[in-house]
Amino acid sequence: MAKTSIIICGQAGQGIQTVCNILAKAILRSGYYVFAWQDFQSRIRGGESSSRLVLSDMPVESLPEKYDILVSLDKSNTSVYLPFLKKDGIAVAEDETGENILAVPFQKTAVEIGGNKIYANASAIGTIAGIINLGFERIETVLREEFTRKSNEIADKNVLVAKYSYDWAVKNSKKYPTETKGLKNLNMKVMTGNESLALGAIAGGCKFMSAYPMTPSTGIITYLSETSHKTGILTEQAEDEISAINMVIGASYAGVRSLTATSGGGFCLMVEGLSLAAMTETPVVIVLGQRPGPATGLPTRTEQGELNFALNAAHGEFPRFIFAPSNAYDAFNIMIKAFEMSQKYRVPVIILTDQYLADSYWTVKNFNIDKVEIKDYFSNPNDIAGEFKKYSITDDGLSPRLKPGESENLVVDDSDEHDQYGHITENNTIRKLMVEKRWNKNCLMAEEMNVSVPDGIEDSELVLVSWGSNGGIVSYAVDVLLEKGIRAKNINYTEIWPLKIPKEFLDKNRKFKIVVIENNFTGQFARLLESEGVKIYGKILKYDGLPFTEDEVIEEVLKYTSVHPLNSSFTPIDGR
Amino acid sequence: MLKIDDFKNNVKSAWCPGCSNFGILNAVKNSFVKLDAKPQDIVIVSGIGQAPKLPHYLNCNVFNGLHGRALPVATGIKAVNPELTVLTVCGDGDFYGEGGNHLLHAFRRNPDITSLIHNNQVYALTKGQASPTTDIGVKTKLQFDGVKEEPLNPLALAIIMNCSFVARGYAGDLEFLSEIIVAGIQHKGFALIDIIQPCITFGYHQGPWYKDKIYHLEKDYNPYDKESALKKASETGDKIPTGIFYINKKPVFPENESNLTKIAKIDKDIIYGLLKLFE
Ligand SMILES: Cc1ncc(C[n+]2csc(CCOP(=O)(O)OP(=O)(O)O)c2C)c(N)n1
Repeated sequence: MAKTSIIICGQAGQGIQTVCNILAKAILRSGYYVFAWQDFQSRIRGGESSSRLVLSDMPVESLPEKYDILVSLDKSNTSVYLPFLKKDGIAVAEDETGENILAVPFQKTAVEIGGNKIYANASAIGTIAGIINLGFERIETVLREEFTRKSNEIADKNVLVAKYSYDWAVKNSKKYPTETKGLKNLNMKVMTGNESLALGAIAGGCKFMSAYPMTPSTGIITYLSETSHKTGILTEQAEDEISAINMVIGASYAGVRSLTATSGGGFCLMVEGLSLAAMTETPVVIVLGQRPGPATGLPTRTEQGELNFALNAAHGEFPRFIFAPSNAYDAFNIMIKAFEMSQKYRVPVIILTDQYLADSYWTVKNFNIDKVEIKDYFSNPNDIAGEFKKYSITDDGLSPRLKPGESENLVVDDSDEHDQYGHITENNTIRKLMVEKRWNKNCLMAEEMNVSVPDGIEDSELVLVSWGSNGGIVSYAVDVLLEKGIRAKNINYTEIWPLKIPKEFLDKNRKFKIVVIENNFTGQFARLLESEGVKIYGKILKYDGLPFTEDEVIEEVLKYTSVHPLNSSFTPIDGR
Repeated sequence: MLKIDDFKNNVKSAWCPGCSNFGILNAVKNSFVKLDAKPQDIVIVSGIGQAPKLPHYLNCNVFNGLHGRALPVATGIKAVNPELTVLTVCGDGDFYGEGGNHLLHAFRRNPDITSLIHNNQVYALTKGQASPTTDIGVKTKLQFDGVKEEPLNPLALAIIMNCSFVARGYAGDLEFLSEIIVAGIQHKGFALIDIIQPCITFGYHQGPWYKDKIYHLEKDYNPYDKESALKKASETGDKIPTGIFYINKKPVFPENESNLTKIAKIDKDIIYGLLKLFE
């Protein structure tokens, strides 16, 4: 397997993300899978940030503990990131020499060849491409695509600097062992989780989005705004999250598929709106980009700490859907499903993401857009007999839905308990019926949920359960464990609520142990499973704000297996 | 031509008998008749309180949302379907207190919405606490030493913020109030109509108190002049002006007023085109 990992570090404001973005595209076009994660601080300039990029001839969605190549754009960062370098890896740093360090004059090249030190990142791009033997033509094409938008001159200078550094690297670096020759055309795409969610919204028929900026979900409304002239989608930056969700509820009441996105702190403010959507049975889709909390937490880091919040947010009792895509490909499809489910059942849908999913660059296979079916869940006004009852009591809890203004039927919604026509009521009998009507949908909703259970799960020794963005990491770990002779399987939950439990999990005679892996302190998903009667053997939890690495997961999982030397003395964590 | 009765429904009112809200309800019906608006083309969005129950007593589309949140809901509705006539009906606590932030941004955003605020200078539904417009010194069960905070002057605030349409009406002056509402609805942009609504249960001023104080802005009053509008809005004491204080034509949100409820899907070619850029 050809696999090369690169860590590019520097200060915020040095254009590290651009380096990452351009290399990712060029790598993909060279026929390799690529995955890249951004690690940055909550600041605009200075500090320590990095992009971590993996190219491979096998699908990749996870990061190693140590890297083959380190590229440091700023002296102050080199020592911070050197521990991430493999023993036999090579470091490339500005003006620095040492064992395995190649001094590259990024700044000098930028000024001498490009006339401005802003081209230092183009020099880094060229250098990396040179070291890994990526054909320069691909780099040139991507650079031109990216920078011609600004001006031809800027594009030319970027290419000039990159080419100079490329040639320099080819000449001066001992060739990197992996020959990165072009493979076949993968016919894939590279995009962030947020871009994929936004594209999913477009494909899912979304017409309105309102949000208030909050990391890590701002990218969604940014992309929808950038492309709004083509799509006709209306986006609006609300004055706060309270307004954002209420605008979305208004647009949805009027008959348009609508979206909002936020993070935990903003979701706190949206909670009353969530409740309003539930009471008025108005479809809304909310992306909840988790980040380490409580309060403002670690704004730019990653965590899966908001599952309990998503499950329990808002007053009163009502059904909801919760999804958590595992990668950018899933994100697109889940967004479409979220819109469909929300429209069909007129309930809120929460999509849980995190910084790892939202900001990483993922290699994505082609979405099957022709297969996407956007159904119209509105009733035909001509089919309404007598006065329109928006909340008519039915066995399955679903009643007809109309758009205001479309016909003589009036659409009446109320946040108070209401009768079948939508008018306020304090009648206890109606109240009871309405509570039941809203809840009755849950039976049908549960049937919509999918969990993919791997074949032969009964014969495995370990079943690793993860959810959301940990899917790729755990699935890689399972491959490695299998190579070591450990019968491990994994289930990654992307459709979380209503919860579906594989029957094998509840089998009293089951032989496998279940270990849950999640990015939080209390093991929220594990507890959810336990509350449904699933016996959990152990939990692997991480809550320092960083994603799991492959090696970390493998090492931790090994403790639960018969082959681990420590096994005899090891007691699994049983909740905190 | 529609009649008053076309806007009537048989929902039982939860207002106190004799409440001045009934006057506003009649003025609203009247204005709809004057505009020859069809019930199906009107959406009234309200918050929570006694005033926000008004749309329930009207035959039209209704969205009775949360306390303070009528404006964002109305903004969402109007943004996606500009063909609808959208109003909000709220109390002073609802609109100026809980919903204050949304009001500030409605001035800036300027959606084509007409907002009626029943200003009774008190929280009625929660039984008599001070509202953002209660005068200094007024004693309530909660503010037992008397209100200490400066009351909000919504008209002055709106004018300072270049609000598109600023007016004051009086619940006891049905004809004039209807005219103002008609003008507010006809005006393209955000229209704030503050309505003096004496609360017969908790209000510290009753109807008769207003009798000689309320007057209509002079015939030659120029609502396009910001300075005189501000001066009028700052008038307090024995004379209380009503009428259209300020009109300011400015761009409306959203810029592109297409009816999004009529477009079912997005062209697949557009999506394929966008996806190409990620290759
Ligand atoms: C979030 C929230 N906070 C508080 C309340 C309780 N509440 C209901 S109505 C109201 C004030 C109503 O006063 P106003 O807006 O002046 O309307 P009025 O009843 O006087 O017409 C309050 C505080 C609520 N329903 N929701």
